Amino acid sequence: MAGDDGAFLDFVESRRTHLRATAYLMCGDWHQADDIVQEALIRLYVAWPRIAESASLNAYARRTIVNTALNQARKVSRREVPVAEVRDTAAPADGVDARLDIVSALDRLGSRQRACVVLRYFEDLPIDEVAHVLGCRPGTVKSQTARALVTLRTVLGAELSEIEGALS
Amino acid sequence: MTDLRHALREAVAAPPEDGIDLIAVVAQGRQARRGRRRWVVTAIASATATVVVGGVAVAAVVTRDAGDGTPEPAPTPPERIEDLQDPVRPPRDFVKHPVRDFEPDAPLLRGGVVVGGPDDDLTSAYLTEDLQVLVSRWEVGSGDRYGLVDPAAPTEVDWLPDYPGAAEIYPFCGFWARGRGSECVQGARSLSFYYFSPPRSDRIETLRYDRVNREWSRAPRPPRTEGGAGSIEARILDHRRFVIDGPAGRTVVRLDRAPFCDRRRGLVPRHLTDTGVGNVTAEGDFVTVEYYCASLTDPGGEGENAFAVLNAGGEILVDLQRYRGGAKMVADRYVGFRGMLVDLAGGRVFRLLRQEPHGVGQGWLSAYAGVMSVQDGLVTWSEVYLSPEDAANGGPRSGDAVIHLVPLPNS
Repeated sequence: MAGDDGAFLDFVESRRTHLRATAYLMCGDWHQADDIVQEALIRLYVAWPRIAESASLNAYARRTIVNTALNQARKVSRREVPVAEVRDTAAPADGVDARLDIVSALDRLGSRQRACVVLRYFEDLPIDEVAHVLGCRPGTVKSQTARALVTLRTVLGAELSEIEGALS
Repeated sequence: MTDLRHALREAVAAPPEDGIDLIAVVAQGRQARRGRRRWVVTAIASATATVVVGGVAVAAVVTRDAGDGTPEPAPTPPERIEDLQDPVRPPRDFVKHPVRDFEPDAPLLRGGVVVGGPDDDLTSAYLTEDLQVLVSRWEVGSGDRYGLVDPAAPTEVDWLPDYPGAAEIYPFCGFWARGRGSECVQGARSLSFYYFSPPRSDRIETLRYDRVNREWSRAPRPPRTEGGAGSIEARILDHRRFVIDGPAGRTVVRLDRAPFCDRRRGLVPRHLTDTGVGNVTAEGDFVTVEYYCASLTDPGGEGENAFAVLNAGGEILVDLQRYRGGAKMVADRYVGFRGMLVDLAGGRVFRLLRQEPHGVGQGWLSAYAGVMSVQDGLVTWSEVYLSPEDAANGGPRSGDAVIHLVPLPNS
C-alpha cells in the first residue's frame, strides 16, 4: 500500500501543475479547477492499482480531468438560474489581466467544444486522441473544433492569428 | 499578435497557490477502494487529525493504514479526535417516519415518508406517491445510479436499469412542482428525470421510467409552475456529510456553508486548529469539523461556522463560530452564503435564502431557500428553487443570508 501511494504521489507531484492548468482551461476558474483536479485524483487513486504499470498514465489522468470537468459543468448548469440583471454584484476591477481574455472567450464555448480546443491546442493532441478522450468520432472533433474556433474568432477578433489560419 | 497555443499557455502561466489537498485525496481514495460501508467522517477525522496535528508530511500520512489491516506507524491523533475514529459504527436500520405538514409558504412533503439509513453510498433520496423511496448512488465513472427502496424491506434496493443516452440524469421531483400536496414527489407508475443536452446548456430533455414495464422512454417536459417560489427538491440529508451519530446518543448536524467548496467539506482548514463544538457541550464530548469558504463581499474574509447538536432529550445546542480566513481560502468569484442561524428546537423549521452571483458566466444568479426539519432525530432538508422573478423582487442581497424561523403548525 505504501509503495503504491508513493508512486501515486510521485506521479501527482510531477503532473499536478499541468493537470491544474488543463482543469483551469476547462472551467475558467482556479478554485473550481482545484476541485476538479482533486476529484479526478481520487478517481485516479482508486484506479491506480490497475493502471500504475500502464504506459498511458498521462492519458488516463488527462481523460479523468476532462471527464470530471465535463461532469461538473453539468452540475453547475443544473443549479444556475438566468436573470435579466445581476444586482449587487461587485464590478470587475480596472485593468483586468489580459490573460483573462482567452479564458473569457472559452467561456462562450460549449463544454465539449471547449474540451476540443483545450485538448487540441493546449495538450497538443492529434484529432484521433482527442476523439478517444471525449469518446466520440474524429469527425465530431473536427466539427466541434471548427465551431469553437469560429466563436473564438468572433469574440477575440484578430487577436489570434492561428485561428485565422486554422479556418482558412 | 499571438496564437491560440501561446494564448492558452499564457493564461495558465501564473497560477495561484495550489489548493489541492493530497491528504484528502488519499483518504477518500482509500475509502473508495475498500468499498466498505463506513462513515466518511471516520476517514475525514483521520485526515483531519493529521491536519490538526500540523506539520505532518503527506508522505507520512499515506503510510498510515486506515483500517485495512496493514501494519502502520502510530502517529498520535489528538485526543479529542479519537471519538470519531471508531472504524465500524453499528448500522442503523431504515426507519419510516411521517413528515409534518408545513405552512403553505414552506415546502412540504404531505404524508410523506422519510427514510434514513446507514448506506454510505446513497447520496440522496426522493419519495414516490406510493411511498417508495427513490435513492441515488454516485458511482465513479458512471454518474448517478437510481433505485427504489421499499421502506418495508429497506435493506434491498431495486436498481433501475441503465438509462439511455445521457451521461447524467436528475429526478424531476421538485423542479417543476410547488406548493402543498404530492406533486413534489415522484409517481407511482413512472419516474421522471431530466438532463441537459448539450451539457451546460439550458436545453432540457426528459426521460420517463415506466415502473411497471421497467422501461425507459422519452417523454414530454412536465409543465413548469409559473411564478412564486416554486419548486422543491426534497431529499434526505446525506448522512455521510451532515448527520453524524455522536457519542452519548447525540446526533450532530453539520451545516455546510458554501456549495462550491465541496472538496473541503469536513476538513479543517490548515490555518485553523480545531472547529470543535467545545463551547456548546461538555468539553471533550466529541469533535466535529466544518469546512468553510469565505466571501469576497466580506473584505475581511470573515466567515462563520455553525454547528447544531441535537441530544436525545430534544435539546438543541447551537454553536456559531466566526473567524477570519486566510487569503488562500477566499473563494474568488464565488460567494458562498454567509451567516447561518439554526433553531431546531421544538421541531421548528429554519429557512435560509441566499443568492450567489456566479462569476464565470457573469449574469447568472442563483437563489435557494432551504427548509430543515428535525423530528425524532431525523433530519429532512428541502431546497426551494426561486424563480428569477422572485430573485429580482425582494430577494436577498448578494452574499447575505436571510433567516426566517417558521413555527410548525399544531399537528
